[in-house]
Amino acid sequence: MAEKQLESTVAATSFQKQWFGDLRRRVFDERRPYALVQADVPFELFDLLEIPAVSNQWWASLVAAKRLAPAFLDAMTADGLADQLCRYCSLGLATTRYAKAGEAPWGGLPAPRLLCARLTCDCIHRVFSLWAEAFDAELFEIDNPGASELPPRWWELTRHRWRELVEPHRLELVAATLERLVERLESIGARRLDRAALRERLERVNRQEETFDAARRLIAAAPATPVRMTEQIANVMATQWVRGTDWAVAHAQHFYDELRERVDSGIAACPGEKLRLMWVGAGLWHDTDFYAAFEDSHGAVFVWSMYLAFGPDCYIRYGLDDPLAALASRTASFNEFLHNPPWAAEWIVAQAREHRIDAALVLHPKSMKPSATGRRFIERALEEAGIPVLPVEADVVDARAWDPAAARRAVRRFLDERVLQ
Amino acid sequence: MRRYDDALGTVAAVVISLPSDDESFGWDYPRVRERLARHAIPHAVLRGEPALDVTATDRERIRTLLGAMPASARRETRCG
Repeated sequence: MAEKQLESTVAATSFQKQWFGDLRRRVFDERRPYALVQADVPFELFDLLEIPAVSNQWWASLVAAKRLAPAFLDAMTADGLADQLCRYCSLGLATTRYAKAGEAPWGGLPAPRLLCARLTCDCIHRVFSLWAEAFDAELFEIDNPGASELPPRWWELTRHRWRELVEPHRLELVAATLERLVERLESIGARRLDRAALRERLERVNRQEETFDAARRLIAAAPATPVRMTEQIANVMATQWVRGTDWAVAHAQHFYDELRERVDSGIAACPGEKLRLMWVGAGLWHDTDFYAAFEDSHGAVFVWSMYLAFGPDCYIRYGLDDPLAALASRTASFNEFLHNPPWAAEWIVAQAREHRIDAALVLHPKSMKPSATGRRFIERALEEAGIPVLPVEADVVDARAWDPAAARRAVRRFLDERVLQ
Repeated sequence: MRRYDDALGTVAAVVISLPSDDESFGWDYPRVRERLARHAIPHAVLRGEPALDVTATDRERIRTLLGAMPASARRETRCG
């Protein structure tokens, strides 16, 4: 694994391990409730009602990064679940349903009191129902109303004009759903949600994301990127799961300060940077070394992924008189921004230009439907903007069909033949 | 699942059309299989695309299923 260049990355990794250890202790020793949730649900509500939330995607990425996934995935296949079904959303379920097949990281997931997911794809209801059944826990689902208006440059509307962007009928539906979620969490947590505290929390989320926005601009404008993409992800995601907490706000600042210092001192993640690459899609969690594999041969460094950029553009909300509505406006539109044409393509091209991207690698996940469907549009938009694209067929948690050497050869050939020509 | 249970008393075997990328019913298969096993009802899973012709592999699966059924059960075929 490539060495960690930033102190803040070491701190972020250590925080997550400690956080999960504390969670297990609370659940097992103190019999306190926790929730198992999809990454796009409003974590702030859970945290304020003292029901810590573990993200399904974070857990899946951890299992994959520790190379523990194949045993669980083989068990799924042996049970008759076809390999084409989404593995990113279901690897966590596999660690529960087929617990004896392998060893889950850090002692495994304890039984949650509640599971919560947005219904963004055909598989989510099924996967989470099975998981809730396996844990004998309650499932709370959040509907995903589709956008009927797709105004251009959505990221310029999210901060101040979010009511208009999300459309009143969608906002109303999601806000009403969140009210019901609050009722459930209040009942489980045996406490009332303090709306003033929610507003304060969202203000602190804004502060955290403003800091990440400054970090993003620093990376975009620096002569050479001061931080590898993988370390951006480690720092950003450790804070996103506990966003708006004291630790998260302070850690975002620590991350920014370290980047500022590196830029001021002329320290590059890849000395001799020649090519700036963009990764479109979820992280290749089982092979994160892939992202540093072209630095020595081509001076090619991954500068951008959605993880750092999405927070500032999607999470910040100004005008928090009705904090639950602001939170609902974020919850309502995650997927269109990240995956669907024309929004995703337009945003990614704008990000590529801002970050002076020379070439893009676009993940083609075989089984993740919502994130796979818009890929062709993104590729076409990037190519039309003059940015060469290499599609990468891979599953982000399932390494069984991944050939690391062949994938690296394909990228080197692409850089030689399409980017350096 | 109740629909399956209601029907299980009236059938000798089950053919399940389940394309590999069916993100909805694909997840139900282990539970369906367990129910069928509980009732000792043989089954075959066809993985081909239902809008297209039956694949050779799927035809073979049906043949195998028919071969596993007692002759008395093969006299009547229920479709649905």
